Amino acid sequence: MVMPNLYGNIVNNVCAGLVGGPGLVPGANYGHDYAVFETATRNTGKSIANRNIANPTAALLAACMMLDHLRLHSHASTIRQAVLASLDDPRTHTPDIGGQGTTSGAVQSIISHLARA
Amino acid sequence: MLPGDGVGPELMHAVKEVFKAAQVPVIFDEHHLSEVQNTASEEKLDRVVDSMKESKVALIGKIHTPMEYKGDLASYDMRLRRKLDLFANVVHVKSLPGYQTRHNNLDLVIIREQTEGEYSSLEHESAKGVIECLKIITRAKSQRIAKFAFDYATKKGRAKVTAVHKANIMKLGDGLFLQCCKEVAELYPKIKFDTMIIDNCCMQLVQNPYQFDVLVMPNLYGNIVDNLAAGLVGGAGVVPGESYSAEYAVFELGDRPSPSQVLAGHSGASHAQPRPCRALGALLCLSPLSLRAVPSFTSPFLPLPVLDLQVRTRDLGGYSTTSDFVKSVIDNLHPHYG
Repeated sequence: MVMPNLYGNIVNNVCAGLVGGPGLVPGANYGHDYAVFETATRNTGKSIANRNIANPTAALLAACMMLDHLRLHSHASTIRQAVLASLDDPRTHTPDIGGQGTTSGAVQSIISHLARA
Repeated sequence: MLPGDGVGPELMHAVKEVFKAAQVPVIFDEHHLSEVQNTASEEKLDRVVDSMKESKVALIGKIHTPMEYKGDLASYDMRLRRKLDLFANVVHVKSLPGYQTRHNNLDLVIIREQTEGEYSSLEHESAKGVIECLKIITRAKSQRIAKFAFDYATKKGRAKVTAVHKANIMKLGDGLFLQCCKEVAELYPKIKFDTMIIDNCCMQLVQNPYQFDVLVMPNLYGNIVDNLAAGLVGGAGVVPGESYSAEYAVFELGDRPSPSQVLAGHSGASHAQPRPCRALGALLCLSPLSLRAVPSFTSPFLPLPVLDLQVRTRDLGGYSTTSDFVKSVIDNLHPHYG
């Protein structure tokens, strides 16, 4: 879907909501010279900051998009697969997706999946 | 009564049939105003306004706004709303008993300012290939819609009003709107007041719509949120809408159908599903609302549309036609007569 600025802002948020919320969806920004990667819905998350409950999925997937952009494809796939595999375990889910896990717990789980890869 | 385009005429016909069966003491003064059918003109618009001056109440289908620019930036639909000063659009989104959706038991009200904002029809090409489109926000209209929202909440016993905006980006425009809402909120200490940015609001509506009660917002956001919320409970076919000015009340569909849906009725496109089924439930829902607006009429007795599987129209996953549905509603009327 392609659209002007405001509609894009709104549709990004609606669609992110459909698949599980701001913690899961990565985003990318492109111009002629630069590329910037971030979470899709750009939430500041003031209410959840510094409590070790933020979902690292969106940021990690954005980082993988950056790796693909840098042509480090095998690193990108390995990390992406580890992130997705880790999500299979509900014990690592942070509160935004209905779990009781922590940010650090989720990251540890992803790292252990990497070790197995 | 303004049947308009697309499915409008059939839906109006359905309302008339049901009203007749229920012996509703209302006469409709019909006006055929349509841009796409070329029956729109300034005189026609004035005739509608004159008629409204007597009746004060209207029921409309949908006056389609064509995409082509024919010289006037404001559509007939917009011009009618401005002439009647229908500043407040109210869409009460309620889950239908017996129709399961992703989120059930919803009950929220969306109040939209519909005479200014992004729909001010003020656009120009300031330089070749550069269009400026003016979004107008005024203190007067923002205060007016905020007051309407809080009065509505008070009258209907609702607990909270949330103002929806994008004031972080449109600091002056939406900033003014937000400021007016805050000022009006202070006059209603019994109603909780909350604010939310439009993008987050849309995400929350999809993930957790239960947190909302009454929402108030400028024109474009209202248009989008109306449609989003209607989608949550079953779509265009089941949500009625109301528009108010100080003197008039207009009853219509809650989310106005898309051009292809409207035009399918015209081209007689046989490949399309029979669109008439959509929105019928909405208009029948709103009939009791419009009846309440008729001063002489005291008790709306029309039953809620039957939502048994046998009579669901296609938009709700059933196979019923518009006429099957109407017949079912009429059949359900009779038990009320001893």
